[in-house]
Amino acid sequence: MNENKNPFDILVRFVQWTMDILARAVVAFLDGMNDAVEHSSSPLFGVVATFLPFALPIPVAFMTATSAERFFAWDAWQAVTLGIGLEGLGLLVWVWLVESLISDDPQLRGASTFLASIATAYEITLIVLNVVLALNDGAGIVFGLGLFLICLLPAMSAAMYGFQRRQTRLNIAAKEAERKAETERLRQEKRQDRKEAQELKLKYASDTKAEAIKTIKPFRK
Amino acid sequence: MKNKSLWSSFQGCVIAVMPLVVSTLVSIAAYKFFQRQTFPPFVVMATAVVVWMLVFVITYSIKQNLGEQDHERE
Repeated sequence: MNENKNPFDILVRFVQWTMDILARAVVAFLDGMNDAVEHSSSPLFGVVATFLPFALPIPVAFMTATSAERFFAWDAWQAVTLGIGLEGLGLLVWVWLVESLISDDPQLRGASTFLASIATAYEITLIVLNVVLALNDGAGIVFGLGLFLICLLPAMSAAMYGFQRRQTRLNIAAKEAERKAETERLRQEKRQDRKEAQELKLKYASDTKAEAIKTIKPFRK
Repeated sequence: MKNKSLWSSFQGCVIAVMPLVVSTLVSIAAYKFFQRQTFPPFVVMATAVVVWMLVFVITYSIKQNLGEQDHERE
């Protein structure tokens, strides 16, 4: 074999070793980061999704308060009360409207027209208070459009919350039914076990008795 | 093999941080936009936070759904 050794082999091996360590370090760092983000994202998603329907109306509530303070010359506490109250009403009415539209309950379905009119009135009040008055005061069209889109966010969020609420309730009901079925199955099994044990006991008792009668010798002749 | 592992780790990491990065970028853009439109400061801040939450929920849900579809296909 030709043992023609290159004097730079050791340098090549050193570079390979260094690159290997570097690549492994980067992989370990990326994997660690991936694990950390994946583990934290799921609970973060749960928290954010829970608070989102209640957080979305906050900017609109304060914008409504600012508008009321500016255009109606209301006191700050009155304006804030109006903003928070209006958004509270909006959240409630949109959640109930969605509930009435997708519910099987005929009484609740009958209330959908009434709820839809309240939801429309709420949206009109919100848009007039914020967008129309601001445009009337000389605000730009982009400002108005941005404000209009913000005004729609709470309604969309509340509608999604209504769907989610119904889905959660259905899931809980399905789990409850499953738990009841499992309890019933266990009860039936226990009953069957008890019955079998009793049958065995009776059989054993009768066998022992018969054996005893057969083996005992009469003491009288 | 090492290169593939490095590449897949990089991909996994990018996909994992994507919802956080996208939501933060959109939130910063919303903050800048509403600030330039002379909205009140509290409204600007609250809108940026809410937009971050909204975009995070949407992108994370999309990521989870795509992951599930890939899993089913495999």
